[in-house]
Amino acid sequence: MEGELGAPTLPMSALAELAPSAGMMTFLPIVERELRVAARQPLAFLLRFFAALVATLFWLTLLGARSAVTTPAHAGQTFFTVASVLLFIGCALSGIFLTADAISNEKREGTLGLLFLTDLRGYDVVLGKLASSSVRAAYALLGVFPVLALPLLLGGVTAGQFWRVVLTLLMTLYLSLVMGIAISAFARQSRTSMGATFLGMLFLTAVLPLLYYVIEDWPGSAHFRFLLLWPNPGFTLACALETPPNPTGYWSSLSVTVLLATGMLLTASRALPRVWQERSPSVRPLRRAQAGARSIVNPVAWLSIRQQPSPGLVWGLLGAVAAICGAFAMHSVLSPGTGRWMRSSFLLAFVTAFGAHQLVKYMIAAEASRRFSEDRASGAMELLLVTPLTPRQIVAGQRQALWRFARGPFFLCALLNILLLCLLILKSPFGSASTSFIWQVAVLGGIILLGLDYYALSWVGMWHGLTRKRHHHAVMHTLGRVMLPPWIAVFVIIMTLGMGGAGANDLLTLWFTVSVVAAVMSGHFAQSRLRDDFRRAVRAGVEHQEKPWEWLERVGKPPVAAQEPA
Amino acid sequence: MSTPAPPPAAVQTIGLTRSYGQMVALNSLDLTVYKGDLFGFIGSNGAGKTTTLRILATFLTPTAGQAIVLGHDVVREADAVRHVIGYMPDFFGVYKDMEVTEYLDFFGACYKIPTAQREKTVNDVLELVGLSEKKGALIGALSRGMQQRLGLARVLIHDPQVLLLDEPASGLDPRARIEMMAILQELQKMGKTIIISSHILSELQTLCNRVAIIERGKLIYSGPVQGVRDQMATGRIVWVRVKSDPEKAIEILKARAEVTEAVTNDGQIKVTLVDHETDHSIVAEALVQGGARVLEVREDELGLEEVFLRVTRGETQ
Repeated sequence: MEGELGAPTLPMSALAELAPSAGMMTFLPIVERELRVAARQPLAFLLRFFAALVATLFWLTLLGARSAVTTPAHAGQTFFTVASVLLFIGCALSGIFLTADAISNEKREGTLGLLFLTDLRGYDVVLGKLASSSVRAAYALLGVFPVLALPLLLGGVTAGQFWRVVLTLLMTLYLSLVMGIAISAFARQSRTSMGATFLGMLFLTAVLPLLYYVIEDWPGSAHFRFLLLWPNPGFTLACALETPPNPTGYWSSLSVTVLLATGMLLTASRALPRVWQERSPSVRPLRRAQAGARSIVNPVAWLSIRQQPSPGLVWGLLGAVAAICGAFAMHSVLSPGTGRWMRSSFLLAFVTAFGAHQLVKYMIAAEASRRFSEDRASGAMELLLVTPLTPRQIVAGQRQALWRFARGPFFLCALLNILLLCLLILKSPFGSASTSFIWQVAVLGGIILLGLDYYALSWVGMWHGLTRKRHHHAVMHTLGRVMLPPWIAVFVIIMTLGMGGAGANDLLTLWFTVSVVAAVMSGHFAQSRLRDDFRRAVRAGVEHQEKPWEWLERVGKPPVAAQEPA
Repeated sequence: MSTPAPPPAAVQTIGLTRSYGQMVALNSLDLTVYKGDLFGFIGSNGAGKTTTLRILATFLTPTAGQAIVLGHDVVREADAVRHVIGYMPDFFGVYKDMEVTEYLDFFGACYKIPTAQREKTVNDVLELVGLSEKKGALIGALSRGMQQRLGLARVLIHDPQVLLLDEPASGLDPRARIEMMAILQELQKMGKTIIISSHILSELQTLCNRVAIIERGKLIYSGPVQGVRDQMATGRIVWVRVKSDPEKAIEILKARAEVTEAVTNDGQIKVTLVDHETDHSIVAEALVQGGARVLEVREDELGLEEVFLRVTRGETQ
């Protein structure tokens, strides 16, 4: 009799009550836990609220500005199209910043192995991390949908268009997040994982359409070239917005996108239990620093240079992009007259060069923030700060290393722009002198912005590396502060004046001006914070960090903490 | 005969206070550590040990009060303090993909040791901590004990006068702990002042010449190890074994004014004397005079752990 031995017993009725929930607990326990945790976080609700608020403000702005000059239906259609495209870009980029470091981070911290010591399967972990990393983005997207549906009331958008766009956005978010998590399952370093996710999404949304465009005129390509468009979620969106509807293109593209994402999810779930373990030896040595690095006086510079990405990888990637750009430029030069191909090739060369600039800027943001982010997380920054090295010397070392890493790609991008400038002067692919002048200004402005953005990204990246918990958050905030403002400005102008309301000259001027102002201001702000608050920012890692909403709790209470010297 | 003057203070805190928001981690801490001390810093989790060490290491600044290391104020003369201290936190903070010598070379450069001198310094500290054979090894491949030794080597790279060691023996196996303690004793002999926080009190008891106990950010005791027993223990305990009739022996003992309590415990008699000054020989004397046949009289040596448990309530912030 167990009861007589004093063993704790539970009535059968209680067990019966527990049984259903116990049964539920065995299915996807990490997903359930992560969703419970996420549901309790105020940020998830705040994000949804603010996403809906921003969308509503845009909607009201547009309606107010455009109702006098156009029909409400047309205004609704403009809002719907622009908002869909912006949301699409957000969804496509979400995997890079939300899931790309989700599993690789656990690998680095050594916590993934603990999960596999239990009965958990690969899909438990993969789906759990996917749920926890994506719930905020999903909430924010869901919060925007009701605002996106407002044009339905004005008659500019059909219900079919609306639901197709909603489905496309959800699937794009799914694809992007899954791509991030799948790459994260195989990668170890955050920069590798984020970079590979970026390239994966770039391949689907930019390289495949580019290839489609290139082979469009090839005889016989009509039988297979559609295959290049189907995996592209951008094509799905284009089909969703199209009137009259293109159901074949839309559903084929959507199905291929979902299949692709699900395939990646299954692959990651199956592979994770086999690839999470570290290979022997448990830690791989880093490559040696380049010859001469030992002679660098600043030890932080030496440390950063030693841990930078392999030059082979960086130059391989940039070399490929530069070669494509060069090939298009060459084709433009060799094309006779001022025909379609000459102009198209120039445009493709321009877009490729623009892509190279963005890639280099992403690399700069990632590399500027990485060293500080990792050192703060491991506690090594605390050790550095108790040595006689001053914050100024630490920052100088990091900047020295960053310039050593970025100077080659920087000059390559500048060279691509000079190549395009020569092409514009020598061949004038657009015929008209005024159009050619705008392009020349745009290409020259690209070089100037490259320099300014380097200044801003390096300082802002270091600051966010020091203050953000995760490296990918630091990269996201850095790019957001420096690169996003000009696009927001252009978007607001287009929304308020309409596509025809502002000329290309004006938009280019606005974009350039806002870019310059954003770069100078954000760079200067970060520079001064690094100079004055470096130690305080590192200390914040071991002190209580106030959440954005906690100030409400302090209202009416006297301050307790004394002010510290910087 | 006059008492010899104490050596000059290496570390002194005066009214040291540190708050984190609403929480007071250190509450007006007054502490003095003399040159050459091997000073044990004892307290429960969250008592304020790490905060104190972080302030002394110049990583944190105090909310109020003052901390002085070898005559330098940790806030106003932080640069000078950084040159004379070696701080080992309770985490590794290592670059796992570096080799042992590279790691030390890097920190040597941080301390501005000239390149020509650095290689010899690295070799010397590696020999001191017993890691000479691991020069080319990757840090991530080292055992926990080896990584702790490497942490100690890093602390010693610039030959500091004051070592601040936060839980240097935590997570180590017994052999590694003993070896770590031997290294610390060796460093003390070399004239270093060492402040060590640890939970392994039995080792601090044999290792340290002075200790401090803090709880909830307040100092409870600071002084010699022996003093903590004398000051904190309420009465001396003596264990007695008699050949027969323990009840009679208890009666004899209870009749003495110097004995507050006498009870049987596991076949022995536990005798609590009225205070710490009372000579325990009175127990044997009383029993023999009373006609009891005494087999053994043994004084209970009150350990630092027991004293710590008695004087603290395990309260944390």
